[in-house]
Amino acid sequence: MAVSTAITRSIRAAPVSFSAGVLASAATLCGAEAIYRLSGAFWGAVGFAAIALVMVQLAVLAGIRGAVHSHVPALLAVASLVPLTRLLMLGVPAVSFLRLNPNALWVLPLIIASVYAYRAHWIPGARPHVLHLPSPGWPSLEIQAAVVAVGALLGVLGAYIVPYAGPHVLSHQDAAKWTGAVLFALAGAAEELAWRGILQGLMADVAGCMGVMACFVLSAYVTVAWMGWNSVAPVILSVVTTVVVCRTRFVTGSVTAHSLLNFLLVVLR
Amino acid sequence: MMDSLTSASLQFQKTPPVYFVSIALLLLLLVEREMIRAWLGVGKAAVCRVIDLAVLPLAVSFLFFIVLRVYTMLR
Repeated sequence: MAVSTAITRSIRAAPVSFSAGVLASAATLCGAEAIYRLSGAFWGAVGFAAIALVMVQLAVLAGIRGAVHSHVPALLAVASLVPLTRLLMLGVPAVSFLRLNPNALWVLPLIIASVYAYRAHWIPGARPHVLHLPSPGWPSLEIQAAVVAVGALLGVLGAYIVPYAGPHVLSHQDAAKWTGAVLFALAGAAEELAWRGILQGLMADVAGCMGVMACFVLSAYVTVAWMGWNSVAPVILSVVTTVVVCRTRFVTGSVTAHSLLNFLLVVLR
Repeated sequence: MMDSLTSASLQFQKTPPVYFVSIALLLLLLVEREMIRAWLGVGKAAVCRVIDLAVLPLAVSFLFFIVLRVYTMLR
């Protein structure tokens, strides 16, 4: 862990505020989700927009008060991607061209935001590597290969276990279906980069293991809210990728595994 | 036949109110960003980056909205 001891010690002195913040976020997200289910997409989107706005305001306030280079503004800003992702899922233009999932365009804004956040210098803490393995050698490569294999296995299992009545990719193939399948696969990459690549590291720096678990719960919530019953396999994979990224500080295996899982899930079901 | 079907379905005919929620949020954040830049000056401009992270996905979503609407109008 490349985070300095001084920063870690000063930040870990306030796990109570972190717990309160996570609980408040979870409660408001549940409230917005309930509004969405009860009152429809518009009021649900208003709820998620309000949560994102409040989190950004808190991040700005923390930044103005002189904590620009501490973890608090960055953590709040990156965590605001959770309600923003839900808002994008509801509010991005639905295109009937993508018959498998007309709202799949939400993936592209999340990817762009994730890449920006991953490369942003103002977000503190060491992020997991993408290109270079932190510890070269076969053991690290084997772990990454194992994660990819688990992703592929869960993708195949998920495709056959979860019942599906919609259009199939492999029967009557066309560009629209393959575009939908690719966007579906990219969703896995975007989620891994956003949650495991950025948010998990920040939360771990702030609250240790509890932060890692909170990050997993938030990522699982986004997956379940988007995919419903299809999300069993991605959530199981998220448990594996959470541990692997935490231990190896390398995110490419997890990104590949989640993309492969989503791709196999959507193609083989 | 298949090409004509898929190109026609790329059109973006309906614009329900839910699309405008993210656009409203984007406008709000952009206005706030400019106000912060004006009030706090260059020294605190780093705070704007916090807003940029939220603005970026909303701006891309808005871009999709505009592109698809223009495409639908031109077809």
